[in-house]
Amino acid sequence: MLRANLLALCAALLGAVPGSGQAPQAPKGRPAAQAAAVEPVGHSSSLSRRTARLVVDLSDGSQVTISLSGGAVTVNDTRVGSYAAGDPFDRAWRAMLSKAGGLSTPELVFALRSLPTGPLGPNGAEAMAAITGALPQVPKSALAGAPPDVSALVGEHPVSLDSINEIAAQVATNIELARQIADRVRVEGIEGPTASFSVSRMATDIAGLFGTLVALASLGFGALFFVPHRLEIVADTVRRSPIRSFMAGLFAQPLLLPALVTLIIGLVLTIVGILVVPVAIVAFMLAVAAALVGGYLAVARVVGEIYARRRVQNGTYTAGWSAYRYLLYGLIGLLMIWAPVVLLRSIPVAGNILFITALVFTWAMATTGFGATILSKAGGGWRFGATPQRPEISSERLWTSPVPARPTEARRGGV
Amino acid sequence: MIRAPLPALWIVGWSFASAASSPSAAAGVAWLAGAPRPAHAQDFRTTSGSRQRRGESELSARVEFAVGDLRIAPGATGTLYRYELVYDADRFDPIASYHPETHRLRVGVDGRGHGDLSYRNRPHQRLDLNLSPATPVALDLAFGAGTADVELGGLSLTSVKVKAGAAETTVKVSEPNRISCRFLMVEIGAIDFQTEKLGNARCERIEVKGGAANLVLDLTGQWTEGATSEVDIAVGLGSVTLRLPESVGLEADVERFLVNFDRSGLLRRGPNYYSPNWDTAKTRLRINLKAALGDIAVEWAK
Repeated sequence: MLRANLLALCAALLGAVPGSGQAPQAPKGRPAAQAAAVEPVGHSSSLSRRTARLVVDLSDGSQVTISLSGGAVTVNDTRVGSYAAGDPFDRAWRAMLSKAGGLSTPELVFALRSLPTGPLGPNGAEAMAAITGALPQVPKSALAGAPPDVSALVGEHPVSLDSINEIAAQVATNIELARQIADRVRVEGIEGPTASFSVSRMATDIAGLFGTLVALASLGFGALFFVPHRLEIVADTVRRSPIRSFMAGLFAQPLLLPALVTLIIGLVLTIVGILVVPVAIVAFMLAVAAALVGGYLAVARVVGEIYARRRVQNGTYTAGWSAYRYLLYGLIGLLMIWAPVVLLRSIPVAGNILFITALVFTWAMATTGFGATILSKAGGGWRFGATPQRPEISSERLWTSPVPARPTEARRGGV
Repeated sequence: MIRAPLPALWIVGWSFASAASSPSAAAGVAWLAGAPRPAHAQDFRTTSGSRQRRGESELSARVEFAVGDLRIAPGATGTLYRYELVYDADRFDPIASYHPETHRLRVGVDGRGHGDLSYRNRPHQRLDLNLSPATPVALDLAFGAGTADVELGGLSLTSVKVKAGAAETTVKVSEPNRISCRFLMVEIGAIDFQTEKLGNARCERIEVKGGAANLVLDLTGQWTEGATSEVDIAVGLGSVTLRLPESVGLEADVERFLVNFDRSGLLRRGPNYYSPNWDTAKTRLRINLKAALGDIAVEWAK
């Protein structure tokens, strides 16, 4: 060991490695004689599975780059030795570099120069001699504190990148396992901890909103196709008396359950009617759902018409394409209240505010439509509100023939 | 009372525009998505660096860290900077450069734009950075996703800029800044952002722009004696907790839209709010707060 140190010292002084019979080439850059004149002022190291590289910045602006890569040891791109992966020199070098981030540059250079070369093997000693020869000397007095314990630095296990990668793979496996467990928990209906924000959840919400639009539009188009007059009458009721429709819907909602109970009791009292109680319940639920959805569609129809700034003449049914367009516009308009909720629901406070706002708005619209459905008897009986004032139409305009009409008596030859 | 809805809505728009335009924020969103993906072998590498102080009059430090754990703290006086970076070489390229002529340090990682970041990358990718307390530092920090623990106490700060996407970020100034600081600017996206003793930064101006964030702004600490400092806060969509020092005179101009504002301890005079000691205090803070859709809470500290 002493001999090896002496060899290293000679190498540092002479810039060559004696005794090996094959002196490595002197590294490019600064001659060893100038090494003592400059100071190490900075360093950067890079460790990967294949390469362990150290760059030392010197006070004269030059750099010393030492690299172990592919079995070759290079100093400033000049090959100065060789190593085998995992040999003592490779491990010692990597151990030193793994601690380089915690050392100041003088400490690192001091430690490198103080590294015992005996345990490194002949190749390692030779390479280390060339490395220390390229680095400037650092006296103990240049260190801010106590000199680093070199044997402790090298003796400790270096940070193994392979081990980190193994840990990473293990963590990835554990995360995957956790996801599977979370999926199972979700399936079993237990609420697990959820992230405050999730793109996948947002995408699901957007798809859900779009699906709702498509479903309601389909129902609306069906209503416009099969029962256009009823939808128009309900919509007309909403347009003429929105407040009254809302109030009717508001007060009707608490009466739904008593009405259902009354219906059931009435059927039960008739004895025979007991048989149809299940059917009556289903029919009642369907009727309420139809009234709510139909009313909501009617509101959408009105909103869409307002949006399009088109006014339908009083008393005329608009079952053409414009009615479909109004309905679609209205549905988009009404459902757009949910767009901020879908996008921002993960935000604390604001997300809840938006959700409640959208919920109340939708409830109000549905209630208004529900009330209008009740007031207009589902568009089948009469229209609620004032009778529309129809403009007087001149009798002359009741005829469309360009030929002036002849009185009946004249046609019969009476005139 | 609802005041100035349009600026407030602008804040909301700005928040999302800035969040969407930030690649690091996009990385954060990708990370937050956390969609399960098949595991693959990762290639983590380590790079570190250090430089001795040699009479530098200033240091401009820019940190760009897309995802992972970031720690910034004061280092040894004789060391200008020191960093240690562990990164995933499959997805990121390391950034580490220092120009002795301009005293500019740039450190961090640069994503390769694969856009398939996931949660499992986060725990192992990390950056530890120490800066010299003795050298005046202009710190520019851009941070994407993960966690950031930034301790600026005891440094010599001339200015601080922090941009954070989707992350849990803590900025502490445990000890007073050694010199006076021109400004501290914070732009944050959808994150939990905590601060401690920002008064110790001794900045003439503090500016915080937040997106969808949970923001704790601790304005306690040793403000520059006898000075009046400005604090501009613009936050959309989120909650803001203001931790205010009792020893400093406060004036708050609050513009809010759909925001619950807990003004306990503040007196209203005209359009603004004032602390009881505003007229007598030598050291004063002017707070301009614009917020939309959220919650503002006030806590007092001695």
